[in-house]
Amino acid sequence: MKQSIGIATHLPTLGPDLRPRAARRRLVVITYIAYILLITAMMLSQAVYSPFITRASLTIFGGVVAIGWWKLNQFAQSYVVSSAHRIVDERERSVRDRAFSRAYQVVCSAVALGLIYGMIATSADAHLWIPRTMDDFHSLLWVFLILSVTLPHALIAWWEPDLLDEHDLP
Amino acid sequence: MRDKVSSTSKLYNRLTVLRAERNLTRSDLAEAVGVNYQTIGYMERGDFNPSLELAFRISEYFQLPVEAIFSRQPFRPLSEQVYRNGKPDPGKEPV
Repeated sequence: MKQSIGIATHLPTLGPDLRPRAARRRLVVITYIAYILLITAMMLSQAVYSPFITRASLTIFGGVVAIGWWKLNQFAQSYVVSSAHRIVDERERSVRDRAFSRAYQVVCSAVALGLIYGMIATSADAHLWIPRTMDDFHSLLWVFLILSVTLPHALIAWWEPDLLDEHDLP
Repeated sequence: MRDKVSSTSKLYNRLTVLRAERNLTRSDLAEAVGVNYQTIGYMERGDFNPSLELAFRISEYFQLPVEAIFSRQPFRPLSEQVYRNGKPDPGKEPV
């Protein structure tokens, strides 16, 4: 029973080989460390009076996050998320659905934590950072945007076991 | 955090043996039944239980009943089954 779907896919060869799970997990860790550093740089940008340091740190950390996301996205697109080139099979669909639902839960939890932090920070005697300017709100939106865009791909890259060779005979 | 197939719902299969007998790669089988070759690997490793529809597609492809390919109980090795089937019944008189 031949069907035209289920064409085997190949990972693009550019950059590190993401077939082993360990390599993908390393990439996820690097991306999220850069993400945390990016947030820190955003929050400290007003305290640091050197525009050069601010711009340099934002560019470096933002660049690492962007490259990390691009590689994770490439992996996920090639193996389990994209339906652009072929029909997604039942396992791929379940992996994709699980990744997006978990990412949604994490983003909702992050928003809830942000609200709780906001309530504490605005109380009279708390001396915590709160967004005041348009730039602060802009930064916060970037934080949530990056989190919601990168998380589904990062989860897939983290979960998927070492990929098998398609031409392997038993 | 990928949901592994739990031991109670695990479905055993003979895909690896059947592929070997027919000299098929994962990619060949995957293309024939319309899935990604990684999905075949997942099934062989017991990490993924196929839907009823996919199980039937595989059984049609191999032209075997579903229960010959998938089972809720671990399969006995084929060599053992062949040996037992070929052995004369001990209660029967030889002709």
